[in-house]
Amino acid sequence: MRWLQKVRAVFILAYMFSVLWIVRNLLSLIYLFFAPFTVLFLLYVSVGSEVLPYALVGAYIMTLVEAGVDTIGDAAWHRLEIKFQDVMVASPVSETAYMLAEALSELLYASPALVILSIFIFQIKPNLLTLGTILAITLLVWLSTSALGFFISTYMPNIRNAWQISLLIGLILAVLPPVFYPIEQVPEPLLWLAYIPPTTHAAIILRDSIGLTSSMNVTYSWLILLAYTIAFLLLATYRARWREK
Amino acid sequence: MAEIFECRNLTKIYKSSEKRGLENVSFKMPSRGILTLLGRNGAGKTTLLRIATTQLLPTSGSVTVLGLDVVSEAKKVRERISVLPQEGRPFPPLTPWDHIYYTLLARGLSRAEAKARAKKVLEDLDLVEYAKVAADKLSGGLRQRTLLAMALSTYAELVFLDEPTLGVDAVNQRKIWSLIKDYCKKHGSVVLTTNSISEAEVLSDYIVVLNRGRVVAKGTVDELKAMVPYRFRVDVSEGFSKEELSSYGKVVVVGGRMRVLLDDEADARELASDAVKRRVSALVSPTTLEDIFIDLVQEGGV
Repeated sequence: MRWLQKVRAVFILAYMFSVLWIVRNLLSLIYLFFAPFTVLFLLYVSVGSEVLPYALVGAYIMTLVEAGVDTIGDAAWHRLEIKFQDVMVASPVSETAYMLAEALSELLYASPALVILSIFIFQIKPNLLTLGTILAITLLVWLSTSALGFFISTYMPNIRNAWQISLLIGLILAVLPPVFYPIEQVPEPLLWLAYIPPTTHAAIILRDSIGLTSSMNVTYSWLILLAYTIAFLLLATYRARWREK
Repeated sequence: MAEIFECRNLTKIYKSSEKRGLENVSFKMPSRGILTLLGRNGAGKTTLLRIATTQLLPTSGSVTVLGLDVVSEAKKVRERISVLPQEGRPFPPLTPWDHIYYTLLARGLSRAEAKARAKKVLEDLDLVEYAKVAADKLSGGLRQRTLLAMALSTYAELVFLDEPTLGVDAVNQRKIWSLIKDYCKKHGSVVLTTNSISEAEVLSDYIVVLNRGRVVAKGTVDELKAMVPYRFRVDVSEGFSKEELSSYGKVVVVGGRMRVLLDDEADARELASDAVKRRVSALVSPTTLEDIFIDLVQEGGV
């Protein structure tokens, strides 16, 4: 399959997995659309408007993470229940194209919420740097969490496990680490732990772009996030070789 | 000229359970046609099919598809095959049209070509009136036909169908059989798995009978029929002990009934007449592929 055909296959499959679903069944969109705004509302009511910039960054990254880790459930469902992966294995569609289609479809489900949240974030400091940072963070967090999701999904023996694990990974990546709050608030003995998740660094970078600076050097955060993305992509590509042993 | 499909000393041992899925399986499909992998549940049919379609690695031995090795030349194999997986399901909100059209586009066909093929296969499988109906509103048989349509619309040189008529009613089963035969005439070869003897008998150019991961028989329908040295069978419902029946011929148990396989017509008549004397029914008929299958795979009744 030529390069252009591969790209075409990615978009066609992603369209099948997401747009056709959304058009026929709007309910499939509802959770990813409302979840971030529910958290925003909760923080606004319980803490106040001063946390809104932090909460917006947190909600944006949480939505990206949820879209990424949803790949665990959907890819496992396509493999174990629908058996669509079997159909694709026995076809000219490459494993990378299939994996990217799974990831892109999840991004499409999350895109309505992401567009609205990104507009709010951009309003805080409307310049090209903010816009560029939002786009770059979107790409890196989406790619890294989707790749991680696809990698994990290949180990799932059944769909119930896949759903449970995706919820757990979502909590570990988007709720526990300093994504909704500044890293300086993490108690000193736990600080080293807070630096481990890639989402911590995504939040540091995005907050920095809207003027919420932290003690962490942003360049390091970029490098760490990039390293995570490459590592997760390599892991996913390794596991996406279709063939079971 | 390369074989269409060939297995050489193929063995599969599952790492997780140490279970032998296939053991030293060897056979070949020399020319275009329909090859049926026939066997009971758990015989190894799906394992073999998954190895052939490049989804599962063999433990040892080799498989070639259209002359290509499924391990070292997997990419080339994938471009020339398609598959109907066992117990697959369509996406609930997507229609038969969506399934066929978009998978054809993903395989690299142009829009016009995909459209024409989708239309044709929907007509062939009597799915036109359901073309725009969401899969979750379709019956089990229609869903299975949708999945079959996806596989057949590819016009692949070799199509693998894992139990293609599973959950399909008798009338549509026959339609599917004729479509599979038609596919073979026009587009390419078919390898299918089934545990239905009638399906194997109607469709197959070659049959490979698997039992517990081993090949127990292979050949054309006629060659298989010639393998068993019995021309007649007598079904007896009651009134005889197994020992009594053994004196007439080979006794097998089918669905709780005793069946005697014998070669001598006089013995068959004698057994029938004995049954009449005992006022029990006995049905004499020529042996079929079913008898051969049961004889090959049965250990202690089915």
